[in-house]
Amino acid sequence: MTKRTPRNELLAGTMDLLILQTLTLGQMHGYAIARHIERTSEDTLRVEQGSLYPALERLQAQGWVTSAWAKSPTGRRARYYTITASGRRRLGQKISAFDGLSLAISRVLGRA
Amino acid sequence: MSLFDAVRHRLRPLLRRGAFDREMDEEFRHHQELSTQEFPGTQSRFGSHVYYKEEARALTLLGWIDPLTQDLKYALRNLWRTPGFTAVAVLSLAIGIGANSAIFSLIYSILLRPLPVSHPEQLALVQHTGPDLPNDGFSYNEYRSLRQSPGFTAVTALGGADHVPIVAGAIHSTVTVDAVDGNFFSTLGLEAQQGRLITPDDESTRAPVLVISDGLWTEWFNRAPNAVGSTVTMRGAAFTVIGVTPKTFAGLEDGGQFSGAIPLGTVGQVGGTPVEGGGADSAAIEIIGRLPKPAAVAGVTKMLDATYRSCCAKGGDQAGGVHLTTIQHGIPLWKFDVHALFGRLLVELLGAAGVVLLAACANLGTLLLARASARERELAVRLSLGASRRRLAGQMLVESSLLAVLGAGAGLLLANWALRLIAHRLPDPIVDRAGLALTGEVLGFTTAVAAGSVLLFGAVPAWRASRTNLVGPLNEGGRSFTGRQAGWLDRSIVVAQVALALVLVNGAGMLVATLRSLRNVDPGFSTDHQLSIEMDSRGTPYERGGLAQFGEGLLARAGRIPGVRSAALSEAAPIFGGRFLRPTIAVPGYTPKPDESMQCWFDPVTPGFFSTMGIALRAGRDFSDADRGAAGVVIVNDAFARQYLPDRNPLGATIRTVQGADTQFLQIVGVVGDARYADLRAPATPMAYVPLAQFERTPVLGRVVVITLSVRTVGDDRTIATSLRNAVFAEAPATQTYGPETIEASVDASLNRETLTAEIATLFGVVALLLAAIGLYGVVSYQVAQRTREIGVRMALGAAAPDVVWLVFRQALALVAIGVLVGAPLTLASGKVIAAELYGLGHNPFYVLGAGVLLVGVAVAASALPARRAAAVDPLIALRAD
Repeated sequence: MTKRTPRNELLAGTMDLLILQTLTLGQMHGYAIARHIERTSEDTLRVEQGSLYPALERLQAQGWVTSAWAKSPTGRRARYYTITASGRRRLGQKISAFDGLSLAISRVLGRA
Repeated sequence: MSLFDAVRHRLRPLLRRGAFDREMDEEFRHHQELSTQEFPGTQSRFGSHVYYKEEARALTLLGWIDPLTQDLKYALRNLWRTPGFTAVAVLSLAIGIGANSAIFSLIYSILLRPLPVSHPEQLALVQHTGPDLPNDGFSYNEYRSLRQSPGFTAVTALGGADHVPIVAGAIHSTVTVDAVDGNFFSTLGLEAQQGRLITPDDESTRAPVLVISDGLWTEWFNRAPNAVGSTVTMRGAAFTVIGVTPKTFAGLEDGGQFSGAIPLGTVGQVGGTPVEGGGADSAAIEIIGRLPKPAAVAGVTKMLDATYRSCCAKGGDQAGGVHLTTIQHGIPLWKFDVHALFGRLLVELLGAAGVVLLAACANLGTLLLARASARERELAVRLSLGASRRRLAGQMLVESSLLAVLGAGAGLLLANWALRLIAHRLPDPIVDRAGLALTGEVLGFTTAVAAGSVLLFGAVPAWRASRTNLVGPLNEGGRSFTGRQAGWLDRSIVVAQVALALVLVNGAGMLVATLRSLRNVDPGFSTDHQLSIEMDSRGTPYERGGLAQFGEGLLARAGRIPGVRSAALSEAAPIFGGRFLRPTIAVPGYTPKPDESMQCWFDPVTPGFFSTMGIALRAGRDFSDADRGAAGVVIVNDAFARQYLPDRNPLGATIRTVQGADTQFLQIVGVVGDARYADLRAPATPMAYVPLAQFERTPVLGRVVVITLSVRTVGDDRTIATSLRNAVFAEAPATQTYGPETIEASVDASLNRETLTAEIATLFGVVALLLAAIGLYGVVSYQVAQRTREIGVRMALGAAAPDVVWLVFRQALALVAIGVLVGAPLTLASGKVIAAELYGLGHNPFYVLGAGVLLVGVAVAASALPARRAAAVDPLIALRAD
């Protein structure tokens, strides 16, 4: 039987947030998404393919992201992902939820 | 992205499965290449890409479909490998589901199906609220007034004429034709399947046009399109066929028939009450209206009632107003209310079919449990290899569903076949109207029943599979010394099966006994060597008179047929049928109770009728030819004398027939025994017989339009029947006949409903017994298999073969005993439910007892084989086995 539940809910949720945020910059393929997250986090966050592609699949299933095959600058066929309107709404919710969470954690740690 | 896109996304891999995999490979490879370009030597980051692919696939429908297809393939293989089990399972399910589908199909076509018109729930019939004539229609003048009333969104009317002689090409026949207002078909929302239907233009010009039913189109025109435009002659008037009504339309009457329709204004030409000159009193038409919505019925009734009282009610309150009856299922037929005749019976039969299905499900449950036990090792192995319990339970459910689908399919075939058999036992109007087809609604019902039975019989093994013990079955020697008893679950299911079988067998016994007591009812006439043939003068030259002379000629002709001992004419003959007159009577010395109807059945007969029919003459004399010109005489039956002339000698008493100011005195000259005319079940009603010869001059009793010739025979009824028919046609070629029919055939036909019930119930009982036997056999043989070691030990310690046999029988008998105890109160309850169907049984525990004994017999038969196997156990082998 295939395993369906992600091993870490928080991690998966965060991954969705990061992907959606990345896609607000424009459509890009999977590798570009992964690289963008790694670069902007100054390589603190590492995106494994094993979490990236299932997450993209999940986001598509929810209707927050769509994809289409197109030619990449290198001339290869690549699947390009685009954030949808409902994806943007979802991103807004996720960001405010995350802000609430990080504020709460900061308070507990006595930094706010 | 819309919801549609989200759904399509999930479905994508289903539609293009190969492409889905290829694209995912390509995407991974692309990622890999870019990654290697940027960071050479990082191959390891890819990991097992097959695993990620699985993960992504699980997100789509494939995560659900893949295991399902696997389960389905596996289940098919399993069923294929055990053809015996599969056959028994599918067959028992097919019988259970088929019985339910067949009975539901009857219920749907007879009771539930709405009229095949648009929004039938909005249609309402206008009826009088007056005290006297609730079934009477309205006059044209009343219709014109009511049509102006506020309330309905549309009002239309139909009248008609019976027994209209019609000539269509080479075909001579008679039809009952409806006469409808121009807006009738548009109000119902019907459209022609050929040509067109009657319009308001036809009505205003009184066009001689005819719309025919699908049935007539087939019968007369062989469905030729050029039927439209052809001319037919009805009662001498030429009508043009303009169209054919939809196949489903069978008129507005429930259980009625529809042949054709003409404009209301032309009804006078075919013998109906004409629109003009019919008089304000003629109650010739029925008024149908369409309500704005079904709930508006009360409000619309008030408006129509007010209109009616102001325009039409005569003599103030006494004449009453009008009220509305919604006719979603059609207008109930007078004297043949299908709902009243079959409603309750069909629901009871559906209940019985439900019990059969329960028994079938129980049976399947035990079979599947036994199978699950046999597969315990297999399940344990799969569990220990990592299958989830949910997946195992799912596998079991898939197997059950597959069985249900096969069973439902076979069940529908059975139902289709059963319906055709049942149709022979139902009255023609029902079969004609209902069509008794497996419609979409029936298929829906069947699907629901099949799904319900999966839940019933499939849930238990699925639950059991999900609780498979990991350790026990894998340990070869792990069986306890005495062996596991068949579980409480298996045993209680068998007990339930026995109880259900008891209920059905008991019910069948009571219904068969009812049929027998009805056959043993003394009908008051002799039931052999008698033939009757009915002649209907309506629509023939005899209609306007001359029927009496024709009858006498026929009587003389019939008397000369070899084998005819005596012959007589009457308007109606017992059980055979005919037509009755019901004038109101007055009996001097008898004061009717306030609400008592003094209408009495009258049958005009010729001398010799009573001896021909075998009706006993109790006192006085039979009619004779001398009565022809003499004063009015009457012969009454025992019930009449008991009811109206108690403690008096009826002979010589004078009764009066009353109709308005008209009255006629009749002297009682004889008393005869009670003959059951309509129904063997109902107690005899008061009846009066008058001489047919006196009838012509007693208009108060009405006109004789139907006569029945009955003969008492010796010898072969069949050759006499042929001579009788020839005699009738020689005397009057144009007459419409029914019969000849033997009295036995008439009695059989009158018991069709009871016979059908008893046959279905017996079939159900036998099926339930068989299922119980299979269930018992299954449990008992499982127990024997489980206890082989124990039996071996017992035998080694000195138990003889009879002891072992008894050991096995004891178990089966205990199950039956508990089942009978559980079932006994249920049989009493079911007896109360079907009390209306029973006759002449009283409180008789014999049937329960008989059913119990039968079940014990079944238990013995079912455990005979396992018992023999147990007795043949070789202790040495049994102890060495494992």
